[in-house]
Amino acid sequence: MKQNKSLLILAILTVALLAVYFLPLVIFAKHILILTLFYAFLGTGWNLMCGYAGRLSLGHAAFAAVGAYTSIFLFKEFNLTPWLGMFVGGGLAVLVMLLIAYPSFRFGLKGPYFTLASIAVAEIVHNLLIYGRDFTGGSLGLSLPYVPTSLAMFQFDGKELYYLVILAFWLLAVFLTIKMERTRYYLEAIREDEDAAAALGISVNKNLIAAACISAFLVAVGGTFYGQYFRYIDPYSIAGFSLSLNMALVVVIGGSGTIFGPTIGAFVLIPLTEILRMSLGSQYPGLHLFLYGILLVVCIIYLPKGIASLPGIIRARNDKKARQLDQGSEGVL
Amino acid sequence: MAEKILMVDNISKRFGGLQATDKVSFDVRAGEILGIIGPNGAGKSTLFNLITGFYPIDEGTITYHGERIDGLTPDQICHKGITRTFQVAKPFPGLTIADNILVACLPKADKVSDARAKVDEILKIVSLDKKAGSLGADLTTLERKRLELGKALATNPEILLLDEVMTGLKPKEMDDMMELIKELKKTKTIVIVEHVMRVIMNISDRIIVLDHGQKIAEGLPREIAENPLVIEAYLGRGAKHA
Repeated sequence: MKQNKSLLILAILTVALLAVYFLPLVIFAKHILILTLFYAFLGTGWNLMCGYAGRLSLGHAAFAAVGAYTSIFLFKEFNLTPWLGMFVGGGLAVLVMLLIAYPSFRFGLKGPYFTLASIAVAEIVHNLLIYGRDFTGGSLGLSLPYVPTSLAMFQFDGKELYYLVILAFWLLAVFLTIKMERTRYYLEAIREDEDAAAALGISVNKNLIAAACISAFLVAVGGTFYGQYFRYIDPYSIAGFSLSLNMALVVVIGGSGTIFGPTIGAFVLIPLTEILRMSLGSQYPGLHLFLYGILLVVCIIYLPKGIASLPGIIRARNDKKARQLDQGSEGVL
Repeated sequence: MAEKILMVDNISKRFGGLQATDKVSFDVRAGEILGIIGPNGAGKSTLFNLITGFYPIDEGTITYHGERIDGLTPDQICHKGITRTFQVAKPFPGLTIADNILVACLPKADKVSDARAKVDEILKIVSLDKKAGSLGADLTTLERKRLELGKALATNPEILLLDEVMTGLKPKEMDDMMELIKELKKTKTIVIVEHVMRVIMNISDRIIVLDHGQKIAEGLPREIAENPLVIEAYLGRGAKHA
């Protein structure tokens, strides 16, 4: 997609989402919107490395956990505002990522092996959080000391300001993705064929590591947001497998390796899961997961490249039809 | 005699028990087409992999414009001005043909828009302009070979290393490809590995012959065709007595 077109779509989406802020919504709807944008943001970060470069990670929750635990720890112990703690957490997440990414990419760990390694790293972080009780509160987790609404301390009493914050995060992440046009092309080339990319003068490791670090940083920032919004984190929710998996699902269903795929995926999946759970969860326990599973299967069968590929598929079908019509009329004449 | 721009001096490469390249030396001169031939497994593709940094060399040196390039990575060597194609064409299957070429233009372009401006021209040179929107995965053999060449050209190299661009082509397609290569010779230096004798004898200025990793002959196409060592390598001992 051309850059200007993407920027235009981003501008329209942002205005629309800002307009939603002024609607008189019930609190549950606001919560769903915040969660949706939260996953759209995480997905956009995940997509940089896992979608564009095709290095599928199912352990990105580790970086969200590093971000969340760092900023809350610094706030509790040193009263450091999470706005700054967020950057410290992001920096630490980048260090953790380098620890994994450098050896993995240097020695060509790819495909299922890379995915397994990413799961292992998330498990290690998960367990370290449980055993580092003195700093992390162990499996009981950490809660955020309450302060009344304070922009400086990243804590608000209503949902509205959280919505604006996550909207801004999402906007910046998508904007960054659009602006990284050259890197996106390089990553796609590397995903398709590493040797061919190198032969054309593309530095494979440099680009992969850059993408991995930005990806880890963004997801860590998302972790801090999670901590501030829920005011409580524990190893299961922030470093658990389900967060990693949800990040990946949102992108895969929406369209991995596309600019708006993660956002589309989040806007389809997150409201759906939340609404299904609210309406069916108490009467028919488990039914919402069953329906959710069916939707995933349908998507994977009919739209293996995600919902974002739909316009392209329709266009191709119309072209084919037009061509057949042309040939048909030639035959008659 | 034209300037020697690439000098390969006594390079060797061993894979386990196999000496794939054994003290091979040769030069590439500006503006020539240098043919490299040899029976299967003679070490022709390995030679390309060594020059372009895909494999590290065990011994010897490779000098390009007076500067050592052995030890550099493939992307660094491409930036210096040497680009190779692959024997088995490697299109980016999930990208369109136009994007395949765009990606190849990018590393040496200051801005993405500069690279985009070059794409059409390259597509025309390799006659893929009508296929610009197709995916790399949907090409015929000839088109894949042309795309492979187009991507290499997009990096604007001084030396182009072509690895068996004729394999799998029909005779007519080969003629077209030969015309294209002769056209490219006007602006590039070309080293070509090829199996098809008709092609290599026709387009090469000089030829070197490899067998079992060693260079067994070097000379003009006519000299090579009459060289008893070359005939022996190709047809086996006893052939010259026949």
